[in-house]
Amino acid sequence: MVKQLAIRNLKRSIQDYRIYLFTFTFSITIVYLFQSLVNQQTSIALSQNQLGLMNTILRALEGVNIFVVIAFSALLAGANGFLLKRRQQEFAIYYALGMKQHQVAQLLALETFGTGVIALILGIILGVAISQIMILMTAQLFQTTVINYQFLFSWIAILKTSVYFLIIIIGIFLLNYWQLKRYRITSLLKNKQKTYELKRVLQQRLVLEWSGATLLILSGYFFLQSTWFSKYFFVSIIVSLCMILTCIWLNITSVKLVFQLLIRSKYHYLKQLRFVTIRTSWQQINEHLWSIVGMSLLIVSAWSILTLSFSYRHTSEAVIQTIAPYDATIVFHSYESDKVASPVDLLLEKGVDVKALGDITMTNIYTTETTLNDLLAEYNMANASLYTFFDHGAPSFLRVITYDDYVNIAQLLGIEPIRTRGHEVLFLTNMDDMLPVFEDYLQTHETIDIDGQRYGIREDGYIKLGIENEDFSRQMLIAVVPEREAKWPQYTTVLNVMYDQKKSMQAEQLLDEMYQTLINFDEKQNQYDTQYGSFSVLTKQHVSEQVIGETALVVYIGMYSSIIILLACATLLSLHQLTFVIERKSEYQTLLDIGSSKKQMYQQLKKQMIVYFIVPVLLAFPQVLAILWLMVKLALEIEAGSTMISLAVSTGIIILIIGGYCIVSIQSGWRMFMKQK
Amino acid sequence: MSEILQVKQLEKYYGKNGVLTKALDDVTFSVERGEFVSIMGPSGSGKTTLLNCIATFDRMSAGDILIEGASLANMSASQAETFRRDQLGFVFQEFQLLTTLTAFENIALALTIQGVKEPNVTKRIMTIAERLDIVGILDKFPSQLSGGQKQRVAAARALVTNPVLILADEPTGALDSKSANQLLETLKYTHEQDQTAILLVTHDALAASYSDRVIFIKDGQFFNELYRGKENRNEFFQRIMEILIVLGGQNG
Ligand SMILES: Nc1ncnc2c1ncn2[C@@H]1O[C@H](COP(=O)(O)OP(=O)(O)O)[C@@H](O)[C@H]1O
Ligand SMILES: [Mg+2]
Repeated sequence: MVKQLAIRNLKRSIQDYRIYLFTFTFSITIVYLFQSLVNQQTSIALSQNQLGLMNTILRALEGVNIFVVIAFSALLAGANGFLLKRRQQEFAIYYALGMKQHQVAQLLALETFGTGVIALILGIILGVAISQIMILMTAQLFQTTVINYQFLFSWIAILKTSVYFLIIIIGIFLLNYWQLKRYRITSLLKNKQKTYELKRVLQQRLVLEWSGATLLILSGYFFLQSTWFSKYFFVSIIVSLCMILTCIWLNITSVKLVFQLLIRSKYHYLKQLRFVTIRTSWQQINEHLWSIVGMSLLIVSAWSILTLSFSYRHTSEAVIQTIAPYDATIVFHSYESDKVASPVDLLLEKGVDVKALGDITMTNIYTTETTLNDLLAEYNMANASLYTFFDHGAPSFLRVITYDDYVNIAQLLGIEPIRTRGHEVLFLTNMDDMLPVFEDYLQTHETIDIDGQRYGIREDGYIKLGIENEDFSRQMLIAVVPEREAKWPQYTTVLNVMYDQKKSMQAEQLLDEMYQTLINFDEKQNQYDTQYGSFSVLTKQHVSEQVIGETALVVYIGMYSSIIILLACATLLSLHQLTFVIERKSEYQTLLDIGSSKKQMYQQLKKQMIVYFIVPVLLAFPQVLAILWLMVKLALEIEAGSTMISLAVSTGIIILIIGGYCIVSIQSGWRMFMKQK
Repeated sequence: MSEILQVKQLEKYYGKNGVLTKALDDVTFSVERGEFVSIMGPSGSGKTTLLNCIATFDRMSAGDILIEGASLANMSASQAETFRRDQLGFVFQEFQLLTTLTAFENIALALTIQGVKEPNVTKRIMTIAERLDIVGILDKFPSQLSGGQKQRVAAARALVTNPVLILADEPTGALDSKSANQLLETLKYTHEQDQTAILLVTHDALAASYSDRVIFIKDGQFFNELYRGKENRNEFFQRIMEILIVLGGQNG
């Protein structure tokens, strides 16, 4: 009996509560997909480095997963609780018919696990299917190819996903059982009818509130722009927080104002059933105003994260060129400041003929006793991203190279070197943020003192150029001095290599072997150690793999978390709407009774749902634009062009998810209405 | 042809697990254009079922209903919708106003569904609102209105489309006697002014005494009918009470 009832209920809930099953299935699919990344490793061509990065990604995702599982449990338990509430009366009847507590529990268990298992099967099938496509994306992200294409099917991923969701299902069951036990039969049988009271808000007050909020945000923005920002860091934080709160306030008043204005426009208002749509939507939105604004903020974060993670990928190419301009850099750190032996000769002894690799330059780096703070103290707070590079505690000393070495480097890269006049110094940096600093500094200074020696400088005497490969930009300032032989101590010699076209493969392979040996700390006997000093090596390939790997990490985690946020929001919106349909079915019925056609009714339901789904998205959009605009403005590594493309892609994803849920909600809602009337 | 509504051998069964309830059994009567007819009977006698069949909310099991000569039995769902929209007006016991709309908008609903546009919507609403004395409350929401006011708004919604037949299922059931009388006076007035036919289901003899004719049904079957003729309301009321005593059972 209980079994039959459970099966019947199961069939019904699958039809009626598609949203619940949808969310359940999709969440399983997503968790499976990211679990199955483990398997994708074997099918794509990944270097040793990339494999390491892939493992970092997987570990990071593992951490995200715990958060995801918790979020999904809450979401699904909430959704299921909603369905249960709808069925209060049904359960009351079961009790009234003499069903025992344990039988009701059994029924609930069968239903919960039944739905869970169906969702698990559907979700994993969908996951397996999508992972076949996702591997292409992974390969693309790592900028490599699929070498060994095979049907991807990961038992481990299935097992892990199943365990996660079994825990969730058990949690849902316990929660709902507890919820059901709390109901008293009498209250179960009572059908509460909500009464709606609409507060009228004065339009003038709304306009005032709205302009006030806008003004506050704008003035907050200009405050942060001003020099005050750098001087009172704490105040700025408080101002930023206030701006976020004001944003929420602005959101709320905007919604109110728009609806008030719509209601005021009498002529258009009374066309067809428009006024019913507007009034009813307003009613629904007003009732959930806070949660809608909350959701719009969540959508803002998902939307921005998606966009930024996509444009991160677009900018990586330019980044690599900036931080690793050479095919390879070999650095010799000598133990003594006096030059005892040539690094080229030392390398030759170790079996590495650098000169045979291609064109090379040798650059001596001297360390002065002047610190960066001595020179640039006034810019210490100019830019939040530079702040960390200035010396705090430990002084960072200015490093210099000779003009001859600079000319060699420029020629190696095929750039025209800047000519200097007389006793002049040039500034080099590989940090974009430093360029405006130099521009300002060189306009306001005519000379510069380095360890008591005075040099001339001129307005255009700076250039963006890295003197060695690095895995991120950190050459704030390298000064090029006019001396032939500098008098400062010199511990570091940099060998920059541009491979010979014909031998680039072998060269890369050779240096990669050297790199692998050097970064392997376990190996005590480092074959590249000499009695005079030690070597390090970094090829462009290494840097590029590193950057691409980081990009993949950012894109994956961004996609993962934002899609989950979106699923959660869409599900909540759906559940709100379906609750409304059920609560107000008698009002819809009235519409039918007084002569509106079924088609009009369907249109009505559809419009209301669309409005409800669209409002948080519309609220989110200007905020997303503002965030992106700020990002493009503040972070120089994000450029407007690629951000626009990414914005289009992420908008597509948002429309797909929210729109999909909207369509399913319309269908479910209509079905519920037609069945329950 | 002066008959606006003809009910012919109407039967309605509700079946559940093979057990049939006969809610209506061979009911036949007709309503003339501009006639005011009441239907009375004990609780469960099938009054609401009858009204629902005429309103096409419910499908009949056998027999036929003709409205202005058109048979409801052969009517498609969409024809029924159009018919409901253009020919009928409803007043319900529970008012059935939309809580999210103002009184004005509730009345406007009936017109906009028909596709009537501004400024005709406002014009027609103002006319009917004056007649029903609700001009002052048009901007209020149902939750701010008394029962009598709500029912007058509901009546305005039914009357504003100038229907040929108004169906009212115990419209005074939830009202105090003063509001009830006020509503019935208005219905009577409209019926006389516009020659609108009214079919009023009620358990209240006083309400029924406003009409031209009272049809009594019992256990889903036609029981009796009374014509008012030239009597005044009070005399008619007395005769209705007499029948009710014979009819017995609990009214409702
Ligand atoms: N939807 C329904 N399903 C089953 N039986 C019904 C339904 N509606 C009414 N009935 C039955 O039909 C009979 C007439 O009901 P109704 O028309 O509501 O009576 P009245 O309005 O005169 O009180 C009653 O016996 C009632 O139980
Ligand atoms: Mg009834």
